[in-house]
Amino acid sequence: MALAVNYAYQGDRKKTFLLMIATALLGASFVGMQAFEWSKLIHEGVRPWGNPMGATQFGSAFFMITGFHGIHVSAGVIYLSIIANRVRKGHYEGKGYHIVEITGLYWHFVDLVWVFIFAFFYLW
Amino acid sequence: MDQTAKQTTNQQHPIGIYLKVWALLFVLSTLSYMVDYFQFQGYLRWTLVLIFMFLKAGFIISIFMHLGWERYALKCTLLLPPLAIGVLIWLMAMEADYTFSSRQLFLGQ
Repeated sequence: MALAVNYAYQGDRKKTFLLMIATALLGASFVGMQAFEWSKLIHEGVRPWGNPMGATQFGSAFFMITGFHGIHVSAGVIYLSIIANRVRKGHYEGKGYHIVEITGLYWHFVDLVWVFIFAFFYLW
Repeated sequence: MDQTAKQTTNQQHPIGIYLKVWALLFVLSTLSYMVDYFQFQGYLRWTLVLIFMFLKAGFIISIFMHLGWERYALKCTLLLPPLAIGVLIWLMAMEADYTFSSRQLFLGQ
């Protein structure tokens, strides 16, 4: 994504498009793994209102926080695909490529949130 | 558009730094996973987890989100309010611990 922002400012539409699509695909595979993890936990009996392995609050906090993060990643994948396609079509020629930077900031912020979620939920 | 606005809206940085930071983030993630793998416990575990977490967050904010190249005033605008909130949360937690321990001491039994 960061590379896409760089290439966008250089006006390299093809590289920007490909890098943004690669980012979107990685994001989609993240959501896929998340869905797998959720179904496994639900299968083990973890629910938003209960957790057979420990504190009940874990269930609600885990599903709500990772759920909100997952929604944002899914929205980001759609957002990235739309912007990438517009870049490919040359929609931003003359307008400037700040939109790629804005998309990048959104994406990196969602990533940043994941750094904290990962530390507090998976390592704590 | 004045000079400062131009500088902040049209930045060019070498590609290499992004790839290096990307690799570094993978290394840091591996290290934080190692904390779990080697079953470190107690204060060592929390300290290592938090150090790796803040390093990763710092690299993402400063390099990928370009904050490292922004003006000092913008850095303050973005970083000081969360810091203030963090201090307030810390103070509230201290207060809560104190209240809890004094209740246990005087109202327990």
